[in-house]
Amino acid sequence: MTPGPLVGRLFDEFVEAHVSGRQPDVRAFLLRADTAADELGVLIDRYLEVAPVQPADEETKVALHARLEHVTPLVAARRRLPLKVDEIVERLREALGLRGSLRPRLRAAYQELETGQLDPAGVNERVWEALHAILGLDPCRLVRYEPPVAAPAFFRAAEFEAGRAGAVASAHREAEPDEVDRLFRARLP
Amino acid sequence: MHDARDAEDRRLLEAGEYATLLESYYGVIVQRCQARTQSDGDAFDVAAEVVVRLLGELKSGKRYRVPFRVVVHKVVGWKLAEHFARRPLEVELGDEAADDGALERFEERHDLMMLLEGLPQREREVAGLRVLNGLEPEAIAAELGISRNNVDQAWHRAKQKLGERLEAP
Repeated sequence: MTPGPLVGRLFDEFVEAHVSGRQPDVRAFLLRADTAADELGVLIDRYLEVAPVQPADEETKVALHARLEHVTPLVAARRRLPLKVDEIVERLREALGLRGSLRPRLRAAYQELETGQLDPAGVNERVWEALHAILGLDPCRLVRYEPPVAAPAFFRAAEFEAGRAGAVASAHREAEPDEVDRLFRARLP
Repeated sequence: MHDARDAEDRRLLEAGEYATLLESYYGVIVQRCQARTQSDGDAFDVAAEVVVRLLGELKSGKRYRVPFRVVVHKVVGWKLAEHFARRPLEVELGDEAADDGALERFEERHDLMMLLEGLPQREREVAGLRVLNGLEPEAIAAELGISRNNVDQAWHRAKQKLGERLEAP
């Protein structure tokens, strides 16, 4: 069966990106294919089965170890340095130029991001850049390796203080958005 | 096209650098699972099953007659087939697997059964029904007369223990 024009175009684009050594995001291509996602998915799958395997970058390695250790890729990236949550939050606060009083709110927001409970689309570019500098890895690529809804194990493994962080966040959401909201929750209603 | 890759894979296998070997394939494993499942949650689950399976075999001393990349892609195909068929692997694969004797050998059920040995009874039952028989959690719950929640908990614990076991030197 001949693929439709959209599928054919997207497939060519995917292959071109792949052979040029980039890491094309399969999810993004499937989204662009819309109702033809299944058709494109089969083509991509068949191509990847015979295509040369690209060398693994650090983000991919971290993502694999995260999966084996039952943590999110961002948690694995932090532990790899190794940094504690408080340490990375402090570095993040300094990089973002936030005042000290916002630290608890920043910690809560960061932990939501780290454990996959925050929509990455609402996170400001400045946060990604700061995390990139701290982790030495592309955090957007790490998030790409993460299912949209984190498994409960991630909370335990990350020692995520859900109750405390949630209380901090929800108590604040009733007030006016602050700098932390603007940096992490641009998509909040 | 694949010669250099196959040579590097052989070197890593001989050196026992299994983590490095699997790291190099994880990207393509995830991509293939994403392409076929169209669901990130499912894709990462299937990819994890592929990695755990391969790691388990490597650590148990399994060696292959075909290039490792072929093994990887076969296992991805099988795990995806399991995912879609929701039933035992050998039913789904049919002629394709039967034609490939070398690959068929490492699909033997006793490999998985060996992995499950030593788990507590409930976890072994749940993992066995899930992995060997391909039953869905609801079907396992009905089979064992326990709640879906208990099945999920036992399956989660079993996976964790298997992961730890495979990681152990």
